[in-house]
Amino acid sequence: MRVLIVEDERRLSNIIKKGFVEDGFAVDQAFDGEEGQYLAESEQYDLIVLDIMLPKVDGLQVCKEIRKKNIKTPVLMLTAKSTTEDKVAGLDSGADDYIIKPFSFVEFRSRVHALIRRSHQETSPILFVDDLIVDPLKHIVKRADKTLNLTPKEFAVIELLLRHKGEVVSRTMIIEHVWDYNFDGMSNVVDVFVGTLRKKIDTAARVKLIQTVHGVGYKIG
Amino acid sequence: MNRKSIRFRLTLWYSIAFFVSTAIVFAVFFYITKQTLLNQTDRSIIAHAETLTKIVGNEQPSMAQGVFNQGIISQQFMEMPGMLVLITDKSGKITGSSQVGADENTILKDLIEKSSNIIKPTFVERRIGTTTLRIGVFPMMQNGQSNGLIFMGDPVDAIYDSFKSLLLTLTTVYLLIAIPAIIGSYLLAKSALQPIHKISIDLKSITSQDLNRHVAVPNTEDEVSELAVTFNELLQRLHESFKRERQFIGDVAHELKTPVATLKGEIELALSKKRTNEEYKKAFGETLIDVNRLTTTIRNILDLAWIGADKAISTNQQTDLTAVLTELNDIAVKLAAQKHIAVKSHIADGIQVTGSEDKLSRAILNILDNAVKYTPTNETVSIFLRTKNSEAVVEVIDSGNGILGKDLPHIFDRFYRGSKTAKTLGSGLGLAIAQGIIESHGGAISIASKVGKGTHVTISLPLKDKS
Repeated sequence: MRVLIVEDERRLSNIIKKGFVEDGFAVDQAFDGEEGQYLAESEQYDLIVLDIMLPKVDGLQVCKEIRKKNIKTPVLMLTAKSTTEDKVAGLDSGADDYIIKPFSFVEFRSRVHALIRRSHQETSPILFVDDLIVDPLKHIVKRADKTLNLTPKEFAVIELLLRHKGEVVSRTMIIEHVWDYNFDGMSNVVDVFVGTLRKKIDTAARVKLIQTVHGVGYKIG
Repeated sequence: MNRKSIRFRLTLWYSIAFFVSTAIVFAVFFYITKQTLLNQTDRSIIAHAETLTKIVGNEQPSMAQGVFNQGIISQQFMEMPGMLVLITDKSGKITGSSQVGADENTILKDLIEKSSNIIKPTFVERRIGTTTLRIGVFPMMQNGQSNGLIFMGDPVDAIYDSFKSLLLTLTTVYLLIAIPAIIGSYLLAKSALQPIHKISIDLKSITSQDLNRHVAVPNTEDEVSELAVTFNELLQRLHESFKRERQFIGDVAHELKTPVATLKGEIELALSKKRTNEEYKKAFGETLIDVNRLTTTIRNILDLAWIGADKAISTNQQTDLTAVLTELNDIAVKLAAQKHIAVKSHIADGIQVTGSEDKLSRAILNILDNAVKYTPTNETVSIFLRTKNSEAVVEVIDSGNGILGKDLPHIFDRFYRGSKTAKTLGSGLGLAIAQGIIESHGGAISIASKVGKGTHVTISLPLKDKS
């Protein structure tokens, strides 16, 4: 999952980023509204965390602008403003959820995952195919009831494949959703990660779950 | 009714004043009427006495007999019923009477005795039988010597009856006036106090939640409407200061929320899974940075809140502004050195102002800190101290980024940060604190700025009183 954090308070932004990275998310940061809007419009994100009080362009304006450009990425507003009016203004600008500072990080994570789930039109917080179970919230992967030990990036790749169960996921898409803006690696990095994933998930199993679609990418289920 | 209420007291005093004055008027009226009537009676008695004196004078020859011709007297006073005439000689012996042998003569005996040495006409009242007589006692003077007395009585029952009925009438009228007077004074007091009562009801219903409400101002342009206007002005001032305080509290909360969110996030994240000692150490280090920032913000907020309250204290102290500026200059040089900013200064000697050294130093340091913060590397910051028109003037001039025109009117607002300023650069309270301190010292601070050219801060403080 790739997330954009638009927050001018650098220390808070870094903490949120740290949390996301530990969950295997790719994270981009913007420190003012202008930069945030530019990134939101030019990159593919699974979620945008947006502060309201931002230098240059405020969060409400950014949200309205990106919705006007038909960007459907879920937006989670993160702000110190706590009155009903503020919440209404935030949600009416096109945000999907609203969380008030100071927030509980656990709740924040749950809301983030709920928003991503909803945007993929999933109902269950647990992703599965055959006997492979992925719980993004608890960060657990099980194959035939056996817990597997994945790195955050490997986890991100398998989560992405499962969220697009039955579809072909291209290498570019994997790069866009798993690595952040600063990633400048070669595209075969995806093949490397899928290789290690296969080793962990499919080697011991009878049914091979991850399939290669030649010239395009990968598919699961 | 509440006995302490103005309405009650007003009614009471008004009623008392009314009763006393009415009573005096009635008493005087009664007294004058009585005197007038009695005087009339007296005058008629005098007239009769004079007539009688003449007759007696004519009858002088028969005086030898010692007795007046009864017929003459009777004849003379026939047309005046009830009138009593008595004539005595020098020794007090009755020489003539309108009612010979009547009881009256004996009843009047003591009067005759008492009157023996009367030389001027005198009036007394005697009750004889069922009638009251006003009796005039007249000496009959002959060659400067009293030659006997004439007692002339006129019944005054009718007059006293009139007095009685007059008194009764007056008392009745007095009592009849009393009731409407009390009611009237009560209503008067009530109507006079009604607008005040209304204001008080209005005020009672106003709480800190709806201070924007106002008291209805009666359209009378009198003292009460003035009072209402004064109350409204007070409410307005209260409302504004409440609004300011609420805004401040809101700003404070907002300002504290972000660092608290950061702190909370750091801690929750550190606890979310098992980590190495190094990681925990790093997390603690990070939280400490946030705690320090929170501490600074809270200290600034408190300083700001107490600036106004410290006004009285700071005026007793003397501060050597030259020394303060010299010290601050050293600090500024150190701060600027890290950014390779040159600091120029010209500090005049021996400038003294009234006020707290700590606070003034804090205010000027905030300005210098900003100047260094917003000036790019290799630029210059200049510090000047001089006197001008009996004021000490501190100027801090930088060739830095400058302030946007739209930000300029707000730079002294609490928690205001320029739209180009990142949050990390400060609490947004520095200039507000500086302004608060300078103004509480009776000084003024002004800022002129041009984007790209730099900023010019001028602080003026009244010089220490020479006396």
